[in-house]
Amino acid sequence: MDGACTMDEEEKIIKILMLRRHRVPGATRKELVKKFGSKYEEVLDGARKRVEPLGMEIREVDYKNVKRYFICFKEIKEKSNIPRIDDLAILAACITYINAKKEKVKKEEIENLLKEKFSRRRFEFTISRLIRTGYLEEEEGYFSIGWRSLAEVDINQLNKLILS
Amino acid sequence: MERKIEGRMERKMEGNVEIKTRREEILQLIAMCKEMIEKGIDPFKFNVKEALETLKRFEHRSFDDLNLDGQTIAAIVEIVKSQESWIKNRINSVFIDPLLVDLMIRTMGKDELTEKILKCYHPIASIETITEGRLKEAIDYWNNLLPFEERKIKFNQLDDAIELLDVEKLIEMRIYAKDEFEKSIGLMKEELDGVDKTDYFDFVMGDGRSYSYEACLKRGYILAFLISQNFVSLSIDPLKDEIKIVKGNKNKKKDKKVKSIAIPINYDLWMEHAQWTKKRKSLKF
Repeated sequence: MDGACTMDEEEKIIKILMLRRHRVPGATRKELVKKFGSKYEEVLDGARKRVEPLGMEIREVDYKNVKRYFICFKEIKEKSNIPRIDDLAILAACITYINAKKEKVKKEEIENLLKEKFSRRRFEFTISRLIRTGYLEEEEGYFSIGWRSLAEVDINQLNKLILS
Repeated sequence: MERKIEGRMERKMEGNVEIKTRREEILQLIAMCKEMIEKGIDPFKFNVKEALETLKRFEHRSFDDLNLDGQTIAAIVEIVKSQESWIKNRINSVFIDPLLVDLMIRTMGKDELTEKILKCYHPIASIETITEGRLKEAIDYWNNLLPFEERKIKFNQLDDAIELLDVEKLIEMRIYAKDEFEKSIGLMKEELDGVDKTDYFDFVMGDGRSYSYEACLKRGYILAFLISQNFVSLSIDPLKDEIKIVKGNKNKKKDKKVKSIAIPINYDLWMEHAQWTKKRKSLKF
């Protein structure tokens, strides 16, 4: 398995990361090591160069001590391809608030924050959708940032933008 | 007279030793400051007050001493500077006041919040698709699939044939002897006593080919029996694709629903696991 990586392997890794097989897209480090051996990082680097001209990048996310790789778009300019404006605003507020607290946040705290701008029906519906799609996580009445927010949102940049 | 001279000489010697040790102390101080800045160590670990006290005790007897004194002050100034930038950096990148964030979110409009998140939003590119190979498999499956009515009859026949194999049945079928079964349970209980949390497949299938395929099946069966007796339980993480054996039954919490699951063990899986554990060993993964 070891040695220089080939174009075929680069294509294979792109397919693995892009074609969804489980509930969660992408692949874990363990899966890639299983497939490509210890040179998986080399193959990933090759794949990075190949997706870059297409406006995409391979992002690495450390979620619950498991490294997971995803192919993401570098930026989105086309407004037709983005989720609802309300959903995004609620997501931005939740992520920034949970991140600032540095711990899990009580459901009531999030509700207090959101009820000023959204109707209860609206934010409850959106939050349950954000939980279902992996952007947020809820455990015993406490909210935390989900795997998808870690993969798709540059949280540090968002904090800077909101505080600036 | 001689004694007086000896006494003076001793004092002078002591004084020289003292000067030497103080000089060393100062040199150490400068080296420490430089090292902290070069290695980026937390500058607040350096006690500035104590360093200035040390410097105060240092007597200047020559031009070199003055030079050393200046160098020390410059090094301490560098440390103070790095303390200042360290605080600024902390404020900007790590510490975010939740109250400030709360206030900012409340004062911002929906559009403004959306605009800001869009600047840092990188959606995942993934697709659910049918591959050529999978499509061929599906066509073969379709071609070999019997009409529903025929299958229905078969299902009904199967329903009569399928039954759960309990321990008594296994003993009756002479797959297990009662003593052997109890002995195997005892051995596995002992094995599990030293384990707090472990991977299901690593436990059942062992490392490499440490257990034969038949032994794996037996281990799987005994473990299932112990799980049903609440001696251990399983914790499943679909995100990590992991099944862990956990000591005791942690699912007993009121909120958590206890459910039974089927974990298939077949020859291919056993072979794959043996190869994977072998590879993992060589990769130290």
